[in-house]
Amino acid sequence: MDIYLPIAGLSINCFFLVGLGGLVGLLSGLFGVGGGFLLTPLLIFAGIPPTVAAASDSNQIVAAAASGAYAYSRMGRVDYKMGFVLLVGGIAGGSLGVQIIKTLLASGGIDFLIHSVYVLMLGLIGSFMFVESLKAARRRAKSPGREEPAAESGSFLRHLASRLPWQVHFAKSRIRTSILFPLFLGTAIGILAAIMGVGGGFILVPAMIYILGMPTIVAVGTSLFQIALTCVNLTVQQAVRNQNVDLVLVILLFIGSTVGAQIGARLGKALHGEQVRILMAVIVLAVAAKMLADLVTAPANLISLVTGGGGH
Amino acid sequence: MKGFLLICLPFFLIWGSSWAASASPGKVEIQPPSFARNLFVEKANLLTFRGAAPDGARIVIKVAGPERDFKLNKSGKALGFLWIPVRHGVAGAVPAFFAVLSSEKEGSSFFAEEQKAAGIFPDFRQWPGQGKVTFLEKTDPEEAETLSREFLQGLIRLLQEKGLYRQDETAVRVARGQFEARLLLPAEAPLGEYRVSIYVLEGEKTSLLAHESFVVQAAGPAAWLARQSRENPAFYGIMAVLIALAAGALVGVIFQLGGRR
Repeated sequence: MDIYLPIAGLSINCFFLVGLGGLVGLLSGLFGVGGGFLLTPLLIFAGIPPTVAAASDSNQIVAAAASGAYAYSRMGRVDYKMGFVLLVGGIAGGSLGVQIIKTLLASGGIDFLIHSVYVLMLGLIGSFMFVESLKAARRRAKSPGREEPAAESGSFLRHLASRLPWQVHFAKSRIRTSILFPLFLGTAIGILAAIMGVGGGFILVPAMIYILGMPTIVAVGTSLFQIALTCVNLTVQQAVRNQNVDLVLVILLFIGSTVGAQIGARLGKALHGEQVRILMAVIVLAVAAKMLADLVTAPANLISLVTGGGGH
Repeated sequence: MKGFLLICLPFFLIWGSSWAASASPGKVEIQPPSFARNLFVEKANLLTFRGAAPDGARIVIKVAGPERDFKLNKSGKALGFLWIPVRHGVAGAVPAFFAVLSSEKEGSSFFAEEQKAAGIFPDFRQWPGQGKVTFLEKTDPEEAETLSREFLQGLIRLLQEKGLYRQDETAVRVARGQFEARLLLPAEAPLGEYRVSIYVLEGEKTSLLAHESFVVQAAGPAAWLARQSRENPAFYGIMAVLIALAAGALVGVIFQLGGRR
């Protein structure tokens, strides 16, 4: 059964879209991430214009992140002070990112930018996750049953943050750092979120744990709170400035992803943490490789359409 | 005589009504005369064209969709391995759908000048309509001409791949002074008015039989959403956020209830 996507201006099988949402929801439930960074490229592979895919994905993330943030808030695991600082940066960065999309849409360079940012970010994160998880799996094999200590890879940046002005104590996170640091982090995530159509949790959570030194559970809750509100801003901005949020697409993806996430969460219990992360890293690297192949392979037709959506 | 007329009357009525239904010369019937595109759609919609054809004539039908501006990129190699957009242009006033339907390969009998006048280029070697490319970068006139041709041919290829530019040499059937043609209009065909021109080929003479049109328009929720997105983007954005928040809350409540059981 085909459904007409009024903003993307094309028709597509609705079960395929629900299935795609379900697949990404399953992976997100399995790996504990938002899944936006997988959903946007998969939508692009399915023929949805990149800007519509990114904008609609932001809208879809609002639902999932708000639901999660509410659950963490009830458990008292959201650092609102840190969340608001990140949010100010996120809104500024998001608005800047939407403006970048608008400018590049006019000049025709947007599809290339979205592809390039994806290749770079997925390549970096996938490689980091793969190496880190492989090391953890080896250590686990040597001394089974031992919990992994938190990585100290961010100690240099944490030291730098402690020397910057405007030091603030974040009680819930049990850290003291310069307000400039989360502000900058939020801005960077906001820009990436607008361009990639992601919540940014896959960058924000490791950054909060490894660089800011926040407890993992508070980092996840605060990240969800910040992502939900950043994506609210992004959805409205994309709708107003670029008219590329496809509500029909969003609803179909959401139906699939909520069901998939529940199945994924149950499946995830059967696997070890590092096994899950290795699997996740392989998927992330496979998507990055496909997108890189698109950039380095000579196209069959040198002329391509700039697909901004909103054409009807 | 009266009895003879009474006997013959039903035959006259049947013959008369069938003649009227088969359309008079110059009049072409398009079924359906318009399409409403709602949320749930078929892969393609069948359109039928019927009309009277002079004896021994062949029929060529041109269907041109609404005109659109297409933003296009030309890819080129950068850094020795990366394919990136190197030229940017806008092809303006291009029919977003174009089809040529005929009963046989008309290329040999359809003369170049007449093709040009009719705007029919069955092999799409030339540009249908008034399409023109403007470039975002400064381009000298000689380069612009070459590049323009390249952009337009590339665009036609893209539209052919999507099934939006096509020719069908088996679509028209002519028999007993009538022609009937079928066109499968893909769901991706743009919204708007489609102009249909029907030509008659008799020997080496080509003449216009009729000009008709049909409309593809959005309907129901699809039309409403597209209109709100375009005309009330702030309202549309806030509505999208509220729907997402409500959906998120609903899922939260459902799984909270599920968890308690």
